[in-house]
Amino acid sequence: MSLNKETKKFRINLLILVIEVLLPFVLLYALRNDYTLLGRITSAILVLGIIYLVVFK
Amino acid sequence: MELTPGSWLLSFLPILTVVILMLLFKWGALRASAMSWLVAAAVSLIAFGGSWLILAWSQVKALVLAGNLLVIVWGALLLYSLASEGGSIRAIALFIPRLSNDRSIQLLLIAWLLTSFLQGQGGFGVAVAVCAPILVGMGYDPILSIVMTTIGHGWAVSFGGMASAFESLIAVTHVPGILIAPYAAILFGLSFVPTGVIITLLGTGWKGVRHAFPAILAVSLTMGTSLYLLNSQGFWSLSTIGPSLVGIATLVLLTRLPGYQGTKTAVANGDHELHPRDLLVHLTPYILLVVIGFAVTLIRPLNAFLNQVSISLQYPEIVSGLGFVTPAESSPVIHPFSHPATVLLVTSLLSYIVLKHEGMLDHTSPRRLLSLTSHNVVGASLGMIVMAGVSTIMTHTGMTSTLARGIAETINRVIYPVVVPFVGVIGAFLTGTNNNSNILFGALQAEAAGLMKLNVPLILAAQNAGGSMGSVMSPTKLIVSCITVGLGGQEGKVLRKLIGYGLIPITVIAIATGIWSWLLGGGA
Repeated sequence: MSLNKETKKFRINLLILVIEVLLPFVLLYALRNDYTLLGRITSAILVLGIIYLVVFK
Repeated sequence: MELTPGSWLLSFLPILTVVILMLLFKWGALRASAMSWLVAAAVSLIAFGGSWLILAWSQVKALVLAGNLLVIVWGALLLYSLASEGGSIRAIALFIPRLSNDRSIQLLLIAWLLTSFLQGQGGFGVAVAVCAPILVGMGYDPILSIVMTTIGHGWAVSFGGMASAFESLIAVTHVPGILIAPYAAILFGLSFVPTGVIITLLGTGWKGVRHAFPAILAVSLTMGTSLYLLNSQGFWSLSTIGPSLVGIATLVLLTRLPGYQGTKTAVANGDHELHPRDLLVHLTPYILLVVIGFAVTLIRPLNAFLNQVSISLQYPEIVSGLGFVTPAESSPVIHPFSHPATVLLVTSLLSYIVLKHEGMLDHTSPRRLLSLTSHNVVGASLGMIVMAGVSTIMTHTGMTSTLARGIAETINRVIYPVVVPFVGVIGAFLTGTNNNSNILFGALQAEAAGLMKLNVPLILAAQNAGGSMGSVMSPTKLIVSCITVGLGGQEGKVLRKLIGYGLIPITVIAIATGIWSWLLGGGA
């Protein structure tokens, strides 16, 4: 049970790490090319990732 | 943005958030950094003319900034996992008492001198990642082990890694290094005695301090003298490794004295015996780290050959909604083949081969090593990226500039030199490195000192010293340190213990800078 919890936590952290590494580049691409919707979605996910770290850590 | 008490306080808010959450609420560094990121983003968007484009660029720059350090951390954690799995840490814990059974001497050797030496070549996080687990293996409390090793190598950051932080200071201020270096040597030298005393006090109490004080004094004198000689001759790239080796030699010589041999009863794990050959094999990761690190750093032709390949990114000019301009710039140049991360990776691979050959690792070890390292790496990486993001958001929206201008413009010229090291501390605490603290605040400190007609090299030496000692207390470094002794997520507890003691050597430097500046005419 404990191992599963650890694995789950690790996987979520890994997902957030991937989000925080990749999405700034996507956001930059969206904003520089005026893709407003993509920019909004990307920035929302980026911020939600950070909020997760505050709330669920 | 116009400098007002309100704008200054808003600029300070992200830093205040991290400090309060970690110290008062005992939050882990990752959680506190994430909250600080949200605060920095909100303040920049609402009050400093920030935009999503600026946030995106800030985060991209933060990734590059953190990435350069993260690869070192990954390498350090891999080497630590290997050393732990292969029994090296336990072997060192058994070896040290052979040198001297005196607990104070053992502590000074590991927490002060060995950490400083490793900082000279390993850089970010390696010193504590190697030495704190050794102290835990010798029976010390994990929190105290981190505090002692962290404070022990605070002075060594600035001139470690080919003095890259000091070179950055020279580059951004255009003040010749040969003018700053002698002041820097004396300021660091003044921190040696308090550093040795704090380590001994934490590990062995006041009785241990009284016992070890002559040794602390002797090591401080020899290290301080060698540091001054190297710096005043322009050899600051050796000014961590050189004095550390001199300090180790001094202490080893002192162990010949009957008073510092200690008693057998004080030996931790004293029942176990290791053959010299086994010990040598167990020490392979660290011997290789020293040999490869030395070769890459100090053999000039090899260094020049490896440095032929370099990576640097170009960033465009960024202008905030309030007109704060971050000029177009290049990222710091990275030399992948002489990078500390490469040294750590090569060391780990060679050590693995040796330890496997000697039967200290089995066929299941690689899986365990990679699993342990990857689990540790993810949390540490997140924390560093988020904290680097706080720093870059503040820099690109003018919050950092507002913070520094507020300090420089409101404090009078007699008090200013005392405050300078603490500005360096803030920069390093925020960014995690002495290098970035010097880049952030170096030019501003030089300009403010010039306007106040203070001694500019002295002020820059104080900024550099504060940055060096502040960087070791930053949340990003604490994340790595805590992982290696099994305290992941408890960085707040460690910082709470660390900050009070860690600020003592910095306060000594601050007071010395104030008096020195006043003697040089800074009070006239």
